[in-house]
Amino acid sequence: MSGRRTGRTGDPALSADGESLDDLLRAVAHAPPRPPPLQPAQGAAWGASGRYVIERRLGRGGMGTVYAATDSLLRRVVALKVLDAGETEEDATHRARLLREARLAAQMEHERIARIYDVGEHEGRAFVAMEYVQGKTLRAWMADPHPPAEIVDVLLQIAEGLAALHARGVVHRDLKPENVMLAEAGRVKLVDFGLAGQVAPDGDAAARSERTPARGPGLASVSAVAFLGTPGYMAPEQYAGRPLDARADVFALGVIVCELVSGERPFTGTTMGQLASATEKLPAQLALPVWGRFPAGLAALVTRMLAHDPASRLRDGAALVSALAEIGVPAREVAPPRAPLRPLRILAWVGGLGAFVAAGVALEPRLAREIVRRRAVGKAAPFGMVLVDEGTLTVGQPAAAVEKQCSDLGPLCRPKVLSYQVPASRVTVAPFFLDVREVTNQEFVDVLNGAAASLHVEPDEDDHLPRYVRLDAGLGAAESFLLDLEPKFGGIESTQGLFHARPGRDRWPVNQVTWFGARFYCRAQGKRLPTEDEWEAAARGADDRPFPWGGSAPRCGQVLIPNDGFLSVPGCPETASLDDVGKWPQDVTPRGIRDLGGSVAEWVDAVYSDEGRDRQGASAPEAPRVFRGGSFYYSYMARTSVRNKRPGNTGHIDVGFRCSADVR
Amino acid sequence: MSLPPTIHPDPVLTEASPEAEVKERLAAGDRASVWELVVQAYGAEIYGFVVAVLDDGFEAEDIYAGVCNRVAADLPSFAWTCALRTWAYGIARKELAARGRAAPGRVGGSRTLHELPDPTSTVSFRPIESRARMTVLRRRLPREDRVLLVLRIARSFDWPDIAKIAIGWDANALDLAREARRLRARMAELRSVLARAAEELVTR
Repeated sequence: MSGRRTGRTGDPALSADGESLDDLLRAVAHAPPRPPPLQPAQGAAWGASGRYVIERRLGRGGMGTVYAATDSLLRRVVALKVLDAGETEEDATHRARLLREARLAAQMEHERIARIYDVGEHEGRAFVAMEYVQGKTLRAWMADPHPPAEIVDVLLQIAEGLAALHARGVVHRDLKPENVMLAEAGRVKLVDFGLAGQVAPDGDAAARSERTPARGPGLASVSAVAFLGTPGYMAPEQYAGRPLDARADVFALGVIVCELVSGERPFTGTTMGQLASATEKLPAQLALPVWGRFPAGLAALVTRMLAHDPASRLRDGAALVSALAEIGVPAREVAPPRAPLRPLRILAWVGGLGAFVAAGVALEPRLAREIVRRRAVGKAAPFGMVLVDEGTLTVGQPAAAVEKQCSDLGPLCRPKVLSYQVPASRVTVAPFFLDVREVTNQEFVDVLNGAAASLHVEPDEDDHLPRYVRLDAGLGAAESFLLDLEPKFGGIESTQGLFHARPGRDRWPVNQVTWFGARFYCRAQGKRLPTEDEWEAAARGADDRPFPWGGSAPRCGQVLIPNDGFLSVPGCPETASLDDVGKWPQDVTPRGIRDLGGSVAEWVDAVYSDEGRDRQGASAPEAPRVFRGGSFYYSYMARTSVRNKRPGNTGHIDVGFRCSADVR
Repeated sequence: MSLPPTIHPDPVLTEASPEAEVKERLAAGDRASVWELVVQAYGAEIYGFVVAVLDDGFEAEDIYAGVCNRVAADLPSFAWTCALRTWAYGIARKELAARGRAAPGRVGGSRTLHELPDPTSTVSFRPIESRARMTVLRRRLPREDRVLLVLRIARSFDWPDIAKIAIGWDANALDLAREARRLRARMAELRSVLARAAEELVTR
């Protein structure tokens, strides 16, 4: 049955005509007064008879605030999680369930799991007193480089903790680096069972009881369900509000392993919907060379952990521990605290893995450098961006090389355009962050709607449909023009004062955006357009790659370019169509930046001049701006050195953009 | 023919105004703690207002803390050019705007239904049926429109006061009148925007 409904719902608040429009307004404007949050002050006594004395605030979680407190009865320091007060009945139900589950977890005693000592309520605020684990979170630990053996050890310890939880029928449901502590001596402790739940024989009864029926695909089905968790680590069934079991924790651990190995989360998106749909495909980063430095079979194991279908995943922590043993990572007895991990000891400890040990010894310094770089990214890069630090590189081309390009193209050669590359020079580019992929229609729509009060849409002169999006900021006609809504290739429309991505085009790269529109978006995000040298550093690299991905010719279906003769793409049609960003497996740089070679070309922060390249700053709005990169429309710019120019105050079907940011 | 909008505020705001006592204590030189009267009287409704505009409890806490600070700092110099409650909302409005400027990545109203403030933060989504759908509609609106809706519909402010909250209680009468007209026109647009959005939500 289709989830699409066209009739009235019977919900008066959604029957928006006549008097009920007033009901709708009241419902949308509903803003009941709320008691402002009162947080426990230092020295405050909590719990029965004031047993816990607040020492200091440790941090905030999704459900409340965690304090270091002294248990005056047993004279020990505890972590006291004070849950946020809720106003609604749902909040109360939710709080009661958390407490019930915390009591359940309090029955656990395992070295890999932080103890829960006490659960209760104080002045209407629920609290959980937990073992205070001295050490650092896995998130903080990830910021430093670690040899693969240590990473594998952490993976194993987390798996052991999960095995213990799952053996008691408990699912953590919020496993993430922030909820894994590394105590002294490298001992792992799983913490924060605020969301943990007991598995019912046929699934997660608690989650099911909170769930409302899904109403078909898309937004409505997502919006109607209840779920708890951390979006970057949630399993597909968690997004969908389906029953959860231990396999959701296995999935989350798969995400964590990817992050430990490559420094990046495998699934990205700026909305729940995007993240949920991203989990449908296995992340490309599982193919990164860095996995070769880990035990053979680990990438395949993580592939199983990240399977979209829970049935294809390992069933629980114990199965994961067994699977790790099968690839040569033996389980150990959980025993007294261990001495600090030392690489040699760990390498001996994984003995029997002849190849891995040998490779580990030989490659460890290189791996450490790789991890240092990736950790820098993971630590500092804004979400969806990567660090580019190519240093000194060649940009442009010598005249002789351009003549050869032209000769190779034969009658297709456009000498003037190719000559824009000349001359070659060496430049040093300071490290910067760059978006991993091009800005999508949905992302652009979100910013437009956020700025709607400052925008207006001019109609097309012919058909009078909304066409030209302009910024009301006292700018001239050229600079105020941001986006052309022409529908044939464009992905954005405007109706009733709101912008929308056209159906099926939300994940396409935004196009028909002017250079000023691109700059407007990046600024709204606190970012900027990349300079031309930055763009070339990202695409070409210090290793002087002819294509963003390297030296190999583009393959059909692997890069979004047409087989138009400029570049030969055997087996592909002469024309290509726009499609989702980030799905072209060949078009990815060694740093993981996608679609620089195809999809759409990209505006950069450079005014074209015959006198030199990479000029920024003030210029006439009509001055030609530089754009870089191949597109679905023309393949010849897929080469990393080729550049071109167009007026910055016009939109083009084959030009979009991505943003960059300074490293601070 | 549809009826003109009837305003039914949320059932709150029955606290007696502390204006007289605030003036009295200020006149007596009590500048240190008089702000507490304002917070006691209007704190809950202002915090509810901030939460409704932001849909983000954590950010709301920060902003509310800023409101309290500014109330404490600015109250002694308040020239009583508007009601104390209007002034307090104006402070909240300024804090909301200041926070919006400080967080360029979070353009007001730009979040889609499930846009992620931080994919490493635990979140919960609960099934509140039609309330949730109303939240969807509200989240689609730019922050300025949310402010307008809550002030006019839920808090029942009249247009001159909303204009004062929007552009400042010290603005000249001409600007205030112009702003009131603009806001009133925007509210009329919002009615049709929301009606349309509600239809879309039902039919998607």
